[in-house]
Amino acid sequence: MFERFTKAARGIVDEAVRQAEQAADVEVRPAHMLAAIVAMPESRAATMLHAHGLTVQEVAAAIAEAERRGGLSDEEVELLNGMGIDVAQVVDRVESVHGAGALQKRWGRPKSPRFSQAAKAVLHRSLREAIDLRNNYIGTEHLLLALAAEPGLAREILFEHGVTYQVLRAANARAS
Amino acid sequence: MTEATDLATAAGSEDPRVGLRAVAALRKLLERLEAVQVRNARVQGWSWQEIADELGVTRQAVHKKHGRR
Repeated sequence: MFERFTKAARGIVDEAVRQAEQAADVEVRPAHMLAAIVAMPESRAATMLHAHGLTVQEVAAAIAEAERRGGLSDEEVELLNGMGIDVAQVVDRVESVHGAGALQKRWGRPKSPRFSQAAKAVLHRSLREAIDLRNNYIGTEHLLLALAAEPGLAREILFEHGVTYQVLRAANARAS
Repeated sequence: MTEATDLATAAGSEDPRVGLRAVAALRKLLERLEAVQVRNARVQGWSWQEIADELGVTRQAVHKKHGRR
């Protein structure tokens, strides 16, 4: 699959790994891929995101906030809330005993972070998006479509900026 | 949130997808809480066996999962 990735798309994947390493994370998650896209402004996907006002700082802040509560996305927090679990309260109590950022700290991280299940799903989805659009390559725009399609933090950040899967599909249709 | 709006009653929802996602989220939170508690126990000098006993799992299981910490 990787042989079909454009140079820019490979750059995004490499940058996502670097982002995860920098955050001392044991996993490369879809949110790191989104952070990588906004950090590499010359790509087609980044141009789309910047047009919607998404900045490097905003993505970083959203990731940090989710990490503080153990990597849970807004949707997951709401799901737990529906079960009667107040995640904010859980985080507060854990941090009051074990220190700020207790839920995000990971010990003994491996030499290089692994791709999470969700991140692998995004990579596979990007291939499907490329096939769907009859493209013989996987570019940054396909990675972005995949991020907007797969549930999780990255999709939520995109949604909050009005970047939905439908919006991106429409933009791709106009461009090609 | 498009879908999250109707997630407010996750525990009681009849939609399997909502219920399953809620359980997955709970597992994610549980994993992090377990890591925090195991680490705290290790810092306080607990053995893997003692930790395993409290968690109700085997020493091998807890060591395999948290061993490199």
